[in-house]
Amino acid sequence: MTDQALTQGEVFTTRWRGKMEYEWDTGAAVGRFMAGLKDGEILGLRCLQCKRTVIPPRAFCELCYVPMDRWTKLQDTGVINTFSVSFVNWDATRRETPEVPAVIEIDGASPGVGILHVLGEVGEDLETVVSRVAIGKRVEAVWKPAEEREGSITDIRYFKLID
Amino acid sequence: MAYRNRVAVLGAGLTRFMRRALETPKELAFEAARAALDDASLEIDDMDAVVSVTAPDAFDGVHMNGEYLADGSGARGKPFMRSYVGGGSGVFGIINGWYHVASGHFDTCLVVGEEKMSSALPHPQGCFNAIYDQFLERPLGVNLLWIFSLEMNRYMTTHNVPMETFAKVAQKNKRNGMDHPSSQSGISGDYTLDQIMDSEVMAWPVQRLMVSPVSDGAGAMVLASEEFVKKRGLDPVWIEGVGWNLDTSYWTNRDLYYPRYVEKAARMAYEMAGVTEPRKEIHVVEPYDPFAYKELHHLEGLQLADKGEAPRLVEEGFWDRDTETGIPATPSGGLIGVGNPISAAGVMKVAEIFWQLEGRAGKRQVKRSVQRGLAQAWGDLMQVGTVVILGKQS
Amino acid sequence: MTEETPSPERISQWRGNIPIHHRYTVGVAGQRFFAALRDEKVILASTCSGCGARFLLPKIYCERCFVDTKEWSPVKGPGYVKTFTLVHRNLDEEVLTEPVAAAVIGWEGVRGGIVHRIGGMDTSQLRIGQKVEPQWREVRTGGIADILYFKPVDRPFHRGGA
Repeated sequence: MTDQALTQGEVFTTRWRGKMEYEWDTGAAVGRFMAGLKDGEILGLRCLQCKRTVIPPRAFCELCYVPMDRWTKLQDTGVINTFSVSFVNWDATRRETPEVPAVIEIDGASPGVGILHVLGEVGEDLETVVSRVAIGKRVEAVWKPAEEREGSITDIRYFKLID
Repeated sequence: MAYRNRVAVLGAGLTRFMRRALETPKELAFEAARAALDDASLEIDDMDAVVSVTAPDAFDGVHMNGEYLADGSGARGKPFMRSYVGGGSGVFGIINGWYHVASGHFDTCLVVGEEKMSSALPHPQGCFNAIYDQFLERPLGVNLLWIFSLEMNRYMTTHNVPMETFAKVAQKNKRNGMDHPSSQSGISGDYTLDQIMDSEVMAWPVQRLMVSPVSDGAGAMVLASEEFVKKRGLDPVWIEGVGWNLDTSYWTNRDLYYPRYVEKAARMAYEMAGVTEPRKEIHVVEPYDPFAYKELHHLEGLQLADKGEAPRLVEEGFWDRDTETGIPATPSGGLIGVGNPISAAGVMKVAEIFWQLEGRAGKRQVKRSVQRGLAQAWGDLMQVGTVVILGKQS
Repeated sequence: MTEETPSPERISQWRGNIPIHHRYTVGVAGQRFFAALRDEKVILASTCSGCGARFLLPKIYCERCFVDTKEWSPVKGPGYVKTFTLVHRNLDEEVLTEPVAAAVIGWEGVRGGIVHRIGGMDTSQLRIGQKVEPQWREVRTGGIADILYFKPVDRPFHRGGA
């Protein structure tokens, strides 16, 4: 079946535009973490059984299967675990300037424990980005001004390379 | 471990894979299931139970897709069960079907995998957005390519793999797919390495010709007990091992360079099959290949190569269809060369091993002799491994 | 959590959506069915090549025998109301000024039926078994709405009234 057949009415179709709007309760762990972001802090959680400090926040340790024990303030710096240079939006449309998503191991969390975020100030084209960014490089958070923060992961605008 | 029944594979059927199918999901399911029954020379009345696999309801746009598909899958008035583990679903469906028969509860089971991704607008990619954490990941604008490109970068950097090696995997699978009658139009072909390496960068290091397409399609297989097989005097292919494993959804907390959940699934299947030296005892393999690097990543998880060794073996032609000393990988053409209607693609991989072991793969038949093969799928948030081992006793 | 008991105000909500929509093809059987509605003003049923059952809506397979359906032919004569309901509220649960009669309409010798509206009559008088026929739209596009509603063939309930 061709696109043409679809658009010119040779093929009968019906449409559904579901209005799928949600309001999710953050729960205790994510709620506390997001409140921390509003205060300009990245909070981790510590499990005293396996001695891990983890982020993203969770109410229980998935390895020990016990409640998490302690909130710990982490640094807003870290190391690039991996990164990519994306020219595609969520709806598969093409972007001219890329986004640079990365997994960032946050200082103060256990080794190898990272979060997803984006890198900024790393260039506007593929060649520049891959020449400047590398796995293992150190980065720091660039925060929104306090009055603009709303308790969201985007209260950190992006991470940038530490020169 | 004691199972009530050994489980045989008696038939398999696939629709053609398409970017946009005219058929409804039910009609796709019927065409594949009918073909599988015909392949097994059986009728729907011979089937005691039906297993359905289909990925997120959001693709087909039917919020009870299993129930909707049931009659098209031959399940009218029969025990029916749907299972779902993201991209791992196709192979997981065969495992679920195996369970139905191995339990002793049923003599036969029809497994049907279906996906109609083209229903979702503006693009099926949009459905994937909702698999991520709604608080901390979706607000960043995450899409599916991010996670794959992040994993690929980690893998290629850890093992220092040149891009050309990944292009060779894509080239092999696109060539193999030319001989598959279900291959989606415009997907397979004899591409040069330059063509592949010059293709559009989607999310570096992922490039367009190293990615499987969006597809519509269905696949089905017929499973039966030893007793059923004996009554009919058949000499079938058997399911020798099954394995599955799920890691947590905290994908940013593990090193993406290695799929340890695939290793766990593989070890479970090897133990059940009595396989102690997979590199000698597995003769043909269908690793999950939604992206070219994934094939290598999974071959290592499956213990068919050491960590970082799979790319080097590409250079030796170890995974080629006509290898005489290696292990042919993805002789079907895989998701890159045939297409990726998610659940149906997993079924297609198991079906390929089935046809290879029966010597019925036609132009795709591997050169070396094969008595045992493995199919694997993967899915969710870098999270799940599903493995099926088939064997033919001489 | 030992250091802090979360107070209710610490537990927040986050809003979002799933921003996709859908376009469904009506399929191989649907294509033929809706073309006949649009072009010939007929309602097609399909017949199983195994057991001979006739299906409405038509399918390309018989769900019982699991083989192809072969013959396609229009249903003959009026249909009848197999069951119905009077709907007094819309999807947002607001009261409608007039109730909508939704019915399953079948034909003798045909398995299944069509879900549609009943019109052209005082629906408070509607009964199961009422014989009905389609009220066709002038401009048809190949959809179930090419039939405006089903209307009574005879009007037994209008006897004696005003």
